[in-house]
Amino acid sequence: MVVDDERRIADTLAAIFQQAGYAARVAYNGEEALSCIAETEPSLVVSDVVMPGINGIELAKTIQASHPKCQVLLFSGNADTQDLLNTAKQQGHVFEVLAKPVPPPLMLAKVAFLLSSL
Amino acid sequence: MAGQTLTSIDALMREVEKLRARLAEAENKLAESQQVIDAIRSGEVDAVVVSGPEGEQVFTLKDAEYAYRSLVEAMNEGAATLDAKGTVLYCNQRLSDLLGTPIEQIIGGHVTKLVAAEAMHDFEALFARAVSGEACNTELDFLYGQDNKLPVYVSLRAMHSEAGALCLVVNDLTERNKRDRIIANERQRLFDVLETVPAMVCLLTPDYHVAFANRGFREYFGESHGRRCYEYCYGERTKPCEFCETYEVLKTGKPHHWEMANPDGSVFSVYDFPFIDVDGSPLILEMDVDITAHRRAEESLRRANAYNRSLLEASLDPLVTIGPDGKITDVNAATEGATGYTRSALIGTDFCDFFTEPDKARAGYQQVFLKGFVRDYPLELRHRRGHLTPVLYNASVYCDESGNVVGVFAAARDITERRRAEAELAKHREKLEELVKERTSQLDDANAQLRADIEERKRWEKQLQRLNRTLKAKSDSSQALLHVSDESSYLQEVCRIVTQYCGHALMWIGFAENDKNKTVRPVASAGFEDGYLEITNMTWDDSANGRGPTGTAIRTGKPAMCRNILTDPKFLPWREEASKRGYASSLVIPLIDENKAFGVLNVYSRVPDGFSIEEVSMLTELAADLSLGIRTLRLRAAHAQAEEALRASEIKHRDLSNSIPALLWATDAQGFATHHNRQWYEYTGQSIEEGFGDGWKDVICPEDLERVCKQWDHCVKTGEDYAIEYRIRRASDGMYRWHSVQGSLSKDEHGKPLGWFGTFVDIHDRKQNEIALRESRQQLQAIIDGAMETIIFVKDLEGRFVTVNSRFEKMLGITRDEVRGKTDYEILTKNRADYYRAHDQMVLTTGRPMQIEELALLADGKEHVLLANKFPLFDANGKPYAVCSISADITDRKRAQEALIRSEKLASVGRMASTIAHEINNPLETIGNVIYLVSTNPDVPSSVKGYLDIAVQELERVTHISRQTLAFHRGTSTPTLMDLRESIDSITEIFAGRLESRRITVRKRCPDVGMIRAIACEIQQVISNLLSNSLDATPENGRIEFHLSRTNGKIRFTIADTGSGIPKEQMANIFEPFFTTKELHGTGLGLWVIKQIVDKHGATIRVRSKMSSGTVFSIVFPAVEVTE
Repeated sequence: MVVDDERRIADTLAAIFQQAGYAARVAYNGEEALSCIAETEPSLVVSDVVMPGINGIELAKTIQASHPKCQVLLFSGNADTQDLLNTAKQQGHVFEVLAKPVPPPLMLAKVAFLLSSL
Repeated sequence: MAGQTLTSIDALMREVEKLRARLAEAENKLAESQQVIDAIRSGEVDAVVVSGPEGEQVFTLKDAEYAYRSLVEAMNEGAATLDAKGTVLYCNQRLSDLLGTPIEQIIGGHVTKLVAAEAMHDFEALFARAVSGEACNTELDFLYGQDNKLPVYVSLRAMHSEAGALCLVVNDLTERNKRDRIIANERQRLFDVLETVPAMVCLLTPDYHVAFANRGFREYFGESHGRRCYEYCYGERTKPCEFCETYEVLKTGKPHHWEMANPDGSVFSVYDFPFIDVDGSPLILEMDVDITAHRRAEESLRRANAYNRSLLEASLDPLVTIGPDGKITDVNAATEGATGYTRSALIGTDFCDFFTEPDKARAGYQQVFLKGFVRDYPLELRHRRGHLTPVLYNASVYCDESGNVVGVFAAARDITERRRAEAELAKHREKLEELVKERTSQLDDANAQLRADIEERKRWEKQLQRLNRTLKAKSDSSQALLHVSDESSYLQEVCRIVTQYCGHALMWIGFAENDKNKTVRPVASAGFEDGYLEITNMTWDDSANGRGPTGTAIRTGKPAMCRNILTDPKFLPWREEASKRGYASSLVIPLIDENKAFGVLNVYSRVPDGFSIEEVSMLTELAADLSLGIRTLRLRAAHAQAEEALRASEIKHRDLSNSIPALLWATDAQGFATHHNRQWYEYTGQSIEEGFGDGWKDVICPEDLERVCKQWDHCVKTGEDYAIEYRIRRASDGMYRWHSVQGSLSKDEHGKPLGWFGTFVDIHDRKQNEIALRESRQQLQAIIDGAMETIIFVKDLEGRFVTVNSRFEKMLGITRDEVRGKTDYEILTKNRADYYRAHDQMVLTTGRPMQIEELALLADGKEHVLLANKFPLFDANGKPYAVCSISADITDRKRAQEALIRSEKLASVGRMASTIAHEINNPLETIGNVIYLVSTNPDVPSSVKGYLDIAVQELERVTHISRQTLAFHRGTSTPTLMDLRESIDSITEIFAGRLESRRITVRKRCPDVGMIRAIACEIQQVISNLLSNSLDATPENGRIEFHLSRTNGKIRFTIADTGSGIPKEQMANIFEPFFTTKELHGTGLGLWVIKQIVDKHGATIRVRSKMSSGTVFSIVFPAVEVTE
C-alpha cells in the first residue's frame, strides 16, 4: 500500500513496486488508506508523512494498533517531520523515515528488507 | 299742680272719712238693730233699752206683742214670719213697701215668690238651713214688683215661740249698695288719682309694710306693695332708716311734711298723713314728690343769684335797681359807699333823693322808662356827709316775662377824676395856645426869610439840574460803555441818555463815510425824529449839504453850532424839515479818533440858542467819551475775537493734548513742571498742584529717581534733547511701569528758552516683552543646545543660518558664529547646497512641517543619514519667515534597519527555503520514480538509458542540494547530538561553487572528536556565516582551513583564512550588531548571529587576526554529557 497525497508519487511508486513484483495498492489520504487496509490487509504500508487529514505518523500508529502485523514505512519531503518523529519516539513508537526524494533502488531495497524480516 | 292735687286729695280723704264714719255708724246701727231683733226674736229680752240723744230710755215690753208689733212695724227692715213650708204668715208693712208688693199678696204666698229667679237657689239653700235650726243670713236679690231686682240682706231663723216658724228679716241694701258704689267710685277715683299723681303715694303700716303703692311708687321701685318701705328704698337695709320722719306721724297723729335727701343726691318732698283704717288699724298715707330737679334748679338759681349778686357787689360803680314807683329796690356796696347810707336804709327810698338835682334825676329816670334806657346822664350824687360826686348814669329798664317793666337798673360812673383831668387839660391847652401864638409869629418872620432864600436857591438848583443832567448823561453814557455788548446799541443808548437828560428835541450820531459823496451816515438817534434823518442828507464835503454844522464839524474837527435854524443860511438845505419838526437850533460835536473826525454827535434844541457854554463843553466831553467808547468797543470786539480765536486754539490744543494717548508734560525753562495733560493726571492720580514744579518726581520709582534727576538736570542745563526710560507709578493699581520719556526744549525767535515739552510713553509691556523675548530666546537656545542628539538649526527665507545648536557645531565641525548669516552655498558644495535648499523650499512652499531623510557628510568624513523634521516659522502675521530643522542621525538605525530587513529577508528566505525544499522534494520524488520506471523499462534503448543515467545523477545532485538546504534551514529547535564534521562537509559543499571560482582551497583537519549537543541548523548557520566571511575576506588563491580538536571533553572548532584580516580598531566591535565592513551589502548581523548562537550553546568564540595575513575564528563547545 502506497499512501501519498501527491498522486504522481503514489502512482509512480506503486508502478515501481508493481514492476518489482509486489502487489501494490494506492491511497491518496489517510482515511482512504485505512479503509483500504481494512479491506486488503497489506503487509506493508508506505506512506507520506505530511498529508491532509490524518498524517502519516498517526496513520502508522493506527495501523500498528489495528494491524500489528502490517509494517509501516514513512517517507517525507519535509524537515518538520523530525519533530514529529521524536514525539512519536517518546511515545514509544519507532518509525523509520526516508527523505524525499528517495532514489527508487533505495526504496526497493528498504521494502525488501522490511518484508523479508517478517 | 301738686298743691291742687294735695287739696283735692285732702278733700277726698275727708269725704272718705265721712263716708267711712257714716258707714260705720250705719253698721253700728244695724248691728244694734240686729241685736234688738235677735233679742226680740229670741225672747231673751224683756226690756229693750234704746238710747237716744237725750239719754237712755228704757222701754218695757209688757205688751210685748204690740210693742213688738209696733216695733216690727216701725222697723226699717222688712220682716215676715214663715212656716216650715215657707208660706208667709205675717209680714210688716215695711216689707211690702220694700218689695213694692201689697201685703195681701205677700201674706199667704210662698216666700219664694218674693225671691228673684237667679237667687232662688241660694234662697232655698238658706231656707233649708234655717229650717234645720240654723240662724243664717245672706245677701241676695228679691223681687221688687214683678220684675225688678232688689238687693237685700236676708236673715232667717227659727222662731222660738212657734215651732217650725221662721222669722225672716229683709234689709234693703239699695242704699247700702249705692253708698258702696259711691264709695267704690270714690275709691276708684281716688285710686286713679293716686295712680296718675306724679308722685309716689303709698300706704304704710306701722310695721313698715307698704300696704299700697301707686303707679309712681311702683315705677320707681319696680314692685307693688308687700315689702317694707326701707327695703324698697335701700334694698339692703333691714331696719328702718334713721333719717325717716315718716313714722313720727303715728306718734303725733298729725300730718307731717318734710324733705328727704337721699344719699344718691335725690331729694323728695315727703308728706305723711296718719289715719285710722276702717278696721281701726293705723296707717300712714305717704306721698313723695321728687323735688331733686326742683332743688337743683333752686340751687343753680341761688348760685346764679349769688354770682350776680357778687358781680353787682364787686362793681365799683354804684348800682341800683329802682322799682316803677321810683323807689330803690336794691343797691350794691358801691352805692352804699357813694351815698353813705346802708343798703337797708336805701331800699325803699326815693332814688331821686340822693342827688343835688332831684328833678333832673327824676327826669332822667322818666326818660328811662320812656326810651327804655339812658346813657351817660350827668348827675351829681350827694353823700350823706355832704360831699358831692359827679356821676354819669347809665340805666335801662328791665321787664318780667310778660314784658312789663318791672323796674330800672341804673349804674353810676364816678366821673370826678375825669372832670379833674378835663379841667387840667383845658388849662394846658390854654397855655399851649399862647405858646403857639408866640411861636407862630416867630416862624412867620423866619418863613419870610426862608422864602427869599429858597427863591434864590431854586434858581441855582435849576442851573445845577441842567448841568447835572448833562453830567449824568455823560456819566451814564460812559457807564453804558461798560455794559453794552455792541457798538450800535451803545450809540443808541448814548443818544437816548442825552435826549432823556438834556431834554433836547433830537440827538443823532453819524459816521463820516469815505465814499464819493462823503456822506454822513446816521447810525443812532433818539428823540423826536419823525423821519428827519431819512429825508435829510448831510455830507462833509464842500457842497451845500456839507457846509452845515455837521460837515463843518467834521472838517474842522471842532464843534459847530447853528444858533437859529430859521435864520442861519448855512442850515438852509434842511431848514424846512427842521422847522417842521420844531428844531430851532443845533449843535454838532465831532467824534475824534487820532486827531481825525470820524463821525458827529448832533443835537437839536427846540429853542434858538438852546445850548449854553457849559452845555457845549459838557457835550464836547461827552463826544470825546463817545469816540473813546466807540474805539474801545471796537477794540474790545477785536480783542474778543482774538481771544476767541486764542481760546479756540487753546481748546484745540488741550483737546489734542488730552486725546493723545501719551502723557504730556511741559516745564518752564528752569525745568519746573508747569503743565501736564489730562492723561498724566489720570494716570498718576496726581492733582494739578501735586504735579506742579518738582511734584512730578514723586511718582518716579525710587530706584530710577537718581538716574532721572541726574539726566534731567543735565538736559535742563545743556538744552540737549531729553530721552530716558524709567518707571513711574500708575495710580489705578500702584504698579511701577516703564515709560519712555522724551522731551525737547522750545525756544522763541531769539533763541531764548521758553520751556520744555515732552511725552511719556508706556513701554512697560514692550519692555516686559523684550525681557520675555530675551529670556525666551535664551531658553530656546538652551533647549536646542540641550538637545544632545539632534542637530537643530534655523535658516531664514534666504537660507541664511539664524541659529544652530551645539550638536550642529560638533557634527559639522563649525561654530555658530562662523555659520550665522551664511547660506549652505558658502559652506558646502553646490550640489549639497542645492539638495538642502530644495528641501527647505519644499517646507516654505507648503508651509507645513515635513519629515525628510537627508544625507549629510559630517565632520567624521562619513556620509550620515539624518532624519530631518523641517518646519516653517511664522511671524505675527502668519507668514513664514524662517525654516527650522531638527535632525536626528539615523545612520546607525538605518543600517540596522537595512540589516534587519536583510536578515528578515534571510529568515524569510530561510522559511521559504524549507517550503521550497519540501515543494521540490515531491516533484523530485516523482521524477526519480519516473526515471527509474523508464530506465527499468526493457523497451527503452540503451542510448536513451545513458541519458537517463545523467538525469539520475543530476537528480542526485539536486537532491543533495535540496537536502542540504533543507537540513540547513530545518526549524528544529531542540538540540541533538550532532557531528560537526557533517555540518562542515555540507556547508563546504554548498559553497563549493564560490570557493572554486575564487580558487580557494579548503583543507579539513577534522578527526572524529565526537558529538556535540547542538541545534544542527544553527551550527550550520554559524559555519556558513564564518565560511562566508572568510570567503569575502580571502583573495584569490587563498586558503581556508577547518580544524576540529578535543581537549578535556571540550570540542574546538576552528576556521582559518588567509584573508585581509580584521583591523585592530574593529576587533572590539565585530560581534556588534549592525557592524559591518561590507558597506554595500553587509548586514553586519553575521558575526552577531554567530555570537548569539555560540552563547546559546554555552560555547565561546574567539578571533585572532592579522592584517593582510588572515583571520582565525575558533569556537569551543562544552563537553557533552554522555547520557545515552
